Amino acid sequence: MTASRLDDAPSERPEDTDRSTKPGIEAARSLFSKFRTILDSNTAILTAIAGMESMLGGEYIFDRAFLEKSAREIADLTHRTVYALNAMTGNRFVALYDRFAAIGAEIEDILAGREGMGAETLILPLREIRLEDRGMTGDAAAALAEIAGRLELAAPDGFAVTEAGWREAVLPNVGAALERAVAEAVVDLYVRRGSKFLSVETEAVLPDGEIRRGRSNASCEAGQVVNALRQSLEEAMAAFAGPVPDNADAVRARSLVLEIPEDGPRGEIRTLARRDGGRRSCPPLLEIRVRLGDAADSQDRYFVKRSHPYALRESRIAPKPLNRPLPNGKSPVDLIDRILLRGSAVLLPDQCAALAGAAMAAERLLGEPLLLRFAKPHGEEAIFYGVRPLAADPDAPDWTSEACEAGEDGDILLRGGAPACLGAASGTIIHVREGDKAEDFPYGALAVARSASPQFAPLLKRAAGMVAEVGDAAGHLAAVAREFRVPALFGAKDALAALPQGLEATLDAEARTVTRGASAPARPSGWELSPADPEYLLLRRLLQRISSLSMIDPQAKTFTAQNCRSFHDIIHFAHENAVEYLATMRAVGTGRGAIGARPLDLPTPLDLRLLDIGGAVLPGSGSVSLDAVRSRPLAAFLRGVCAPGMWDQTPANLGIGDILSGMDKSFAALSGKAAYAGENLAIAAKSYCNISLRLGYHFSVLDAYLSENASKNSIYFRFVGGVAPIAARARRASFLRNILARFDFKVEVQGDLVVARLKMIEPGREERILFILGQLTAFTRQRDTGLLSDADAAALENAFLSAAGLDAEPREGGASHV
Amino acid sequence: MSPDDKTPRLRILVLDDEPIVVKRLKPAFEKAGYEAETFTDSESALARFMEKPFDIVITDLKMEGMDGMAFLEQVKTRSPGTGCIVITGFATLDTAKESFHKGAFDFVAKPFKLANIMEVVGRLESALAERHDG
Repeated sequence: MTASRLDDAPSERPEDTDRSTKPGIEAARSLFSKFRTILDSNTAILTAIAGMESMLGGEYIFDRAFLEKSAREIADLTHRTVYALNAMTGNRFVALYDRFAAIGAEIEDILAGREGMGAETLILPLREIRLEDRGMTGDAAAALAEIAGRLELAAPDGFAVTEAGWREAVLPNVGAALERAVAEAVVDLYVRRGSKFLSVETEAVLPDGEIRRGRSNASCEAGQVVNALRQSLEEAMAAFAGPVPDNADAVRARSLVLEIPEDGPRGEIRTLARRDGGRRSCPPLLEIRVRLGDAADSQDRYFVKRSHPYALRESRIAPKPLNRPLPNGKSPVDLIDRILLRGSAVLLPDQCAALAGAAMAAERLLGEPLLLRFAKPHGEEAIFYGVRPLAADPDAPDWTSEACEAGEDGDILLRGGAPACLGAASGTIIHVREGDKAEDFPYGALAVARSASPQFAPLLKRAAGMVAEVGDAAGHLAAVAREFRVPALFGAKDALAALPQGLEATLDAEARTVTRGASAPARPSGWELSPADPEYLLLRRLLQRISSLSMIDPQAKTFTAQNCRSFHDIIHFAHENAVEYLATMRAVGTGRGAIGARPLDLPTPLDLRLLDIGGAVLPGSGSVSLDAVRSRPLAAFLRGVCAPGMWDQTPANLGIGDILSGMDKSFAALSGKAAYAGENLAIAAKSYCNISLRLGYHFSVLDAYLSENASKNSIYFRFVGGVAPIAARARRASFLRNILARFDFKVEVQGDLVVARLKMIEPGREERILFILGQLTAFTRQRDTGLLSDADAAALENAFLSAAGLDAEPREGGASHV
Repeated sequence: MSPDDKTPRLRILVLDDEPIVVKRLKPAFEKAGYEAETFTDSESALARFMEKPFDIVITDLKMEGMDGMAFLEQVKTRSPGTGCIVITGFATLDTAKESFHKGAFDFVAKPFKLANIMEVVGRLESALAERHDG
């Protein structure tokens, strides 16, 4: 989504001397006033969203009143956007009012504490559950879905029976609607996953909050699962100590139905161990218990440090049952050097470290010590099938003890930077570079980078903390750090030199320091925003309806008003369609000539017209030369388009695959030189430009704001289309992504669609980037044809870098992302 | 000046009708070495204050029952030496002016960074110490 402002555009355009065009001029003024409303609302909404998202970082103390005020302000601005788009386009998008009203009503439901429409859902697949759904699904399902969905930890497939699902149950009947929904879900699991056996856990909650649980297993068959649901609820109800209220409605119930993992070791992890005798270990440790069979006395216990590299401090290995194979496939009665293998450890130290790393990532995300249950099918990664707060466990350590809180005091290695997400974390320092694979980064290490590039986003699922020399709390990566609750310090000068690779250290984002040694406290300070706080969940529920973006590709058939699911979807949809409308106005009858679009006279065969909405060109009439362009961003872009060596006049190198994939397009368009189709239009003011280009079957949009104030500056660049087969277009998209990423753009690629965003750019740097985007636009025209292999794509990248004089330059960094 | 073991800990009363605000401020002040008591209704807060005045009062403005401005007035009447900080999500020039007129030391708009409120409390603490020494 673009974030632009037309602050420098005067409310009135200079008087046109031609009286006959006056009605057209008035229409144009009205049209651009609406367009400007869309752009300004867009900026204000994104700013307000950023304000709400920044609350997740823990640095701010906020209240419900702030959330209500922000949500309603965004709703008001979104309504203005919907109105402006319809006013611009003669009410082409009336359906957008309906979506606005529906999403607005959901937000009002959330603010009023009402359950809303989704609350009537009887069954929710585990993969669709979010933490904020815990009221509907229960804590167990929400927490498991959160670590599986966000951290991508392996978890069984399954579904939750919601409170609404159980509402109509009058045992022994679970309700006809629920039976039908369960049958569908079970068939889905069987068909999609081949599931054989399922576990069912049901929790019943009394009005006073008392919770009891019941469990049952079933084969993957609808009737069996319904029976297991009934049995597990009966077991939970029977477990209540006192009398259960006569009024069945007073008891709430929720169930979690999961695949039972294959045979293999089972175990549990307590992320904060209690030593024998009830003491908490000092320094704090994490405990892993694992067993081969069901006998609790045959389980191994491992105590490891809570920070990377998760050193093993103590292990207690139990004799193994004789009737089960060891994880390496050998028998417990086999001998090595006359010693029975039944005394072998189930887990090796590196396997303990891997489990500890995953468990600590889950603790970071959920904000408190946890008890995680896992299965480890032979030779496979651990599957987590249960997670709940350790505080709920009778073996939980005494939180009130402060004995271990002090930790080790270490030298201060680094001081400074801006906290992107508060919190403290210890771990081994690992230097990371763009292009490094996230899966190679060890869980729980501290990442240190040159810049807070959005390319590091996947790495934050694993890192315990992150420090970057360049970047700030407003950037995209900062938002991701808050999402994963990873302490982060950005803009910390000379971090790479001050924090040597391999050293164990502690990042304290609040104190803005990194110190030698592992000394992060096990216990939160208490003032942090916890995922258990109702306000945290309220904020996340609101953000889901406000800021999540589900429609990314404007060319997709699903990019419709009816499919908008959030206010962000609505403003994205409105902006795209407003630009589209302006770019194709001739077709809808307004007539570009009538509203003063002037052709640009460029030294390249590019048919581009310019609509000046305030100070974009020197006064005059007729065509506009490049020298007469006064719009700073437009001039920079056009100079790039016209740069020598960029506008390739060679006919496209078409293979048979290109021809076949373009059968629905004209042959002239496929083979012609510098083919133009559609309208090329630049809407520009002194500091703003929005350029829509159709070159052959490539469609690109550049939306840029360039002023002396870096905090307002932004670039949005989109490129899509082509006639070559999808693989070649994807290579072209990859080529573009690599080039754009050099300039710290946040780049999203879906098939052949490339969307890149950058904001808060120093003016000189933005001018240079726009020049390069101009070069790139000219250079990339029809470049998907001829990209027969990845090697061709690499050669193209080198050719562009060489032609643009970028091949000898280091990659850049330093701005933030929209 | 920061609190240490040798000097008695300054006592801070925090009043805000939103539980999340007092829930987060209390441990933050305690970690910084203050003694903090928190309230979500002005009547209870006032009763406690009348029982034993606090060195510093941090109060929200818009609340059910007695609002923050009236609470501020009562606090100043009972204990003119208490330093008061107003926190509000509905900051306007007029409310700020009125707060200062009623003797508030500073006015902080919500949402605020924890570091900001700590800095304001630190300044107030210094001002109280100077007044005491003078």
